[in-house]
Amino acid sequence: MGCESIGPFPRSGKYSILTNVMDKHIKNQLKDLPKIALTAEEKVLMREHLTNFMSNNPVVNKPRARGKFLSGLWHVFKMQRLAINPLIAVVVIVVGVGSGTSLAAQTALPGDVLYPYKIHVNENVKVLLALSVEEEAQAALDLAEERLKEAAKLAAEDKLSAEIKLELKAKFKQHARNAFAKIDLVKEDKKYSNASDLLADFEDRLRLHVSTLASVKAKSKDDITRSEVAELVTDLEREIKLSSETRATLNAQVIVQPDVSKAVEGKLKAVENKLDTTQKLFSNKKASLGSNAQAQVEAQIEAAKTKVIEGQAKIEADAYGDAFGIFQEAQKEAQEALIIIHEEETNIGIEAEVDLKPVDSNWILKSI
Amino acid sequence: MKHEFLRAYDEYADQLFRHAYFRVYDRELAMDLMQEAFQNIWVYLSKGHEISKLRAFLYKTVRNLVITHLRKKKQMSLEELMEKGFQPSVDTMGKYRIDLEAQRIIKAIKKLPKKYQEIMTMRYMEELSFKEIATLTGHTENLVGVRINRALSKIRKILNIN
Repeated sequence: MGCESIGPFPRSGKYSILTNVMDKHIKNQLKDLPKIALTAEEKVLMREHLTNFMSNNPVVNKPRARGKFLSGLWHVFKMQRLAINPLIAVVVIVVGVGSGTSLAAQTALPGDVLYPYKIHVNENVKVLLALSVEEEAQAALDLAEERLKEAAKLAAEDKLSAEIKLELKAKFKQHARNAFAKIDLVKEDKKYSNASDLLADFEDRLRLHVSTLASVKAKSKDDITRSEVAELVTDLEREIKLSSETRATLNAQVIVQPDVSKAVEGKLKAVENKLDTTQKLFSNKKASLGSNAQAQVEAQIEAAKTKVIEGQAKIEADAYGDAFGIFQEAQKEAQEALIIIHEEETNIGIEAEVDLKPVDSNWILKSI
Repeated sequence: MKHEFLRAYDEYADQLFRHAYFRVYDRELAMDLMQEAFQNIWVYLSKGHEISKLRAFLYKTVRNLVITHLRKKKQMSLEELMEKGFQPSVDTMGKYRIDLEAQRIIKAIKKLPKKYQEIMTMRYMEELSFKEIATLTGHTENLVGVRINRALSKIRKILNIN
């Protein structure tokens, strides 16, 4: 195990000799544990098994080249097995017939003629219009979310095959990774609070989609759809967990910044805006919600308001670290209220969405 | 691609085996899980998908397989075995001989919250560097160091109580 240093974290003056001795004892005991390793024979045998497996499962699709527009298009066509003449589709996309095409492409799904236009033209424009790194991150998160919306719409119609799901999942991950790379840049700029808010937004969106997909799964009678959606939900929950862990690290950095009071005031403002949006949405939708849902939403909003008051008291007492944590909780309470409204609406409205195609089912996210 | 994948096997097989072993404490099972991870990833790659960080992907796949396995089958942890009266003086890790003091420490590690167990296992049993742990967990090296400090502090408290 080599060096006895515990890494980059500096030892504080409070460490006693006894503490050091105990730590050394613990590390030495663990260091002396039997070395767990494969034997040479085991490793060779397993390699042979793997080689045989690889021969029996040869490469089917070579990885497509990145950044090549047309090869990306052809990949989509091949994947979807379009019945129409691909040459016509390419001509339509390359010529691009102006804002009408762009608008029509907005609601395209994998398999639709205008889907390549949507992902390679409309969405590229969105990214190009971003003026700051934060906006670039937001644009990437929007694109990641769009893939989830497409998956939910297809699943609602029992059209989410394993192949399409894998493709959408891969694209979702690509956009999410792009967003995280941008958020890393925000972090490097020491804008920890902004980075944390971006991640919080990402998690909130994912939670809503987990809720939507759960409803779709419950409604579907198709085993393949249910299985594909269940896997997708597990993946999203994993993403939420990862994001949440990263955000916790960022929050720890926010509260030790010299200008922490500014960050906390910013957080308070964000929470107040969220509460305001939630309350407005609730007033608009209240009549269409069941009595149980109404009571739950009211309770969540009340809990969020109580937290805001608690946090404000902490600010008064200069306890900014505590205030930051409490405002985070308030944000979560408000988000839970939105999820309840969304779940109620999804359960009521999902058949209507299928009948009234093309329908943008994500009014709730646009209104946030 | 085949050659590159087999090179990855040659390079990472031992580490991944250890990674699985220190979660299931069963040699044969750890080998099976590791083999399954490589096979699953090969299938994924053979269908045209790309993986930018193969090592991290391998670790995550192994971890997911471990979780799936543990959910399907209730596994007795060392601690549970001891609570049920099993007091080995030797051989608490398969066929390996482990003295009582090390057993106490392992038992203490298993009482820690999951994130500290994970990091202590990776650092002292799998012998990964801070940088490697940071890459695999997605945390900074600084946070890794902080968590190890905290884990050691908690272990000291547990050992003192016992």
